[in-house]
Amino acid sequence: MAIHGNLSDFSLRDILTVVVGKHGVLTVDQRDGQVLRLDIAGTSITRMTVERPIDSRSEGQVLLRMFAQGNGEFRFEPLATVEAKRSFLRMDELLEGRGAVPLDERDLPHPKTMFLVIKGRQVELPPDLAEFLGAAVPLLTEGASAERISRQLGFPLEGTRRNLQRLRQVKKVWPMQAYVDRLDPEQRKQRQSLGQRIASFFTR
Amino acid sequence: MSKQEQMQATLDALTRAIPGMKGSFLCTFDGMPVCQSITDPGVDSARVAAMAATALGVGRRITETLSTGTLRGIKLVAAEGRIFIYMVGSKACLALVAPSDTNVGLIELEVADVITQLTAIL
Amino acid sequence: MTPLKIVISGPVGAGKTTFIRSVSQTEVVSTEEVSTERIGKTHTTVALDFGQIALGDYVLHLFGTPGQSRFDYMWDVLSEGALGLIVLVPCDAPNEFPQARRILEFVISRQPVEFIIGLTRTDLAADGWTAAEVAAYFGVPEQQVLALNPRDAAHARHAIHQLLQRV
Repeated sequence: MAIHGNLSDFSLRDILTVVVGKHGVLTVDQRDGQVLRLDIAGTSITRMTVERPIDSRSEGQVLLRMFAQGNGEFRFEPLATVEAKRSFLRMDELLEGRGAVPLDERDLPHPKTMFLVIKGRQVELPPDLAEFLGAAVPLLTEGASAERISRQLGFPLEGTRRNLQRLRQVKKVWPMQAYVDRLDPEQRKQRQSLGQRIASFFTR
Repeated sequence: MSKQEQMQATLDALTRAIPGMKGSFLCTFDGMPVCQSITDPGVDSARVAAMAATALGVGRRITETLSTGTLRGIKLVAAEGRIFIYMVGSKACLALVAPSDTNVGLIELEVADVITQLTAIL
Repeated sequence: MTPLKIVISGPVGAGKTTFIRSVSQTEVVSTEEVSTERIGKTHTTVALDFGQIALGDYVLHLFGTPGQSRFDYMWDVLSEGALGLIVLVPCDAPNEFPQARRILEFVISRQPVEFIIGLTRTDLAADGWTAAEVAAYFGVPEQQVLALNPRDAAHARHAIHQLLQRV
């Protein structure tokens, strides 16, 4: 059983989110034959190699950006034994920091999926994205889809979908959970007791 | 003429034959568009193809369950238009999006011919 | 007694139609047509699957949706008023995970439903993702992802049972 797939279906952020906290080696193939290898230990990348070890953090970040745009296969192999190593790149910093792991526009959400802005979340955004958010925030406060935002603000739909996806990657917006956002606690309780009642018939 | 060209010509002729037709669409049973003749650019062919397949799929289950023989077609009557979806042989659907004042008799006549032609091509 | 609705969705080939066929106590109404695309099987659902389970005084209506995006209107139509949602995900087809996530977020952002993720093909695949790994991808707690075989009625019932306890 393994964590594997193709970069055309997963953003680098997606992949890092799944491997964070684990120990092992993540390999990312590029179509041109280059292979990026990341040694992962918990919340750190302890080593990066592309044919040769990468020494500088900035070069490491550039390489990550490059590979993130690609379409190669990736695979994570867990390691039973882990050497204690110093951290080369911290994954939480990569995922938080602007530009280190680029915001990806693959795997766009459905145009009608409803999103909410996460008001409490402070995050630095590229200027065009910050501008989009500024315009869309009243709609995103009550919850809105790309379709609604594009229609109401006169933005092209594709661009709106892409912007929502980028905002989602830094958790500044998140898909609504209608169960929580649209039902009041009383209604949820009624649902739950109904669910329990039906579930009880399974064990009889 | 290639098959695609023949189908296109048949659909174009059909769309022209019915006044005010927004479009005629040929699609597979699993909702993939094959060919379309559209006068209204606002109509999304991919959507029409999928929905025609869904409607016929449901329609066929109903006619089978109620034992009324092989489904030939479905008519959707709406405030601002009529949608006709027909079986073409055993592999394809033909959908027409027409205005609400459309002459149903004319459509039935034209469609009968078109189905024969399309079945021969497919 | 008002019938109660459970929706089974997920990408193409995840096992939705199979799941309902395994667990339904009545004959399943399907709308499968020959697939003109290569999807690893001959037929695909173009409208819905419908099955039923009786539990005490309650009747659960099970609705399966198509998996392709061109049928996305059915995701909305079928999940309206639903009590819960099961999203089936094939463990050995990570290329389908984005579609699974798209469907899940579409439905739960628009309909007030609780959900579980059913991870299928874990018995068939040598090289699939585990439930814990899939949970990390979807950003949900591990308990919300169940490995299940849609051909196995007991697995399917268990999944519905788990879902009802989350509802």
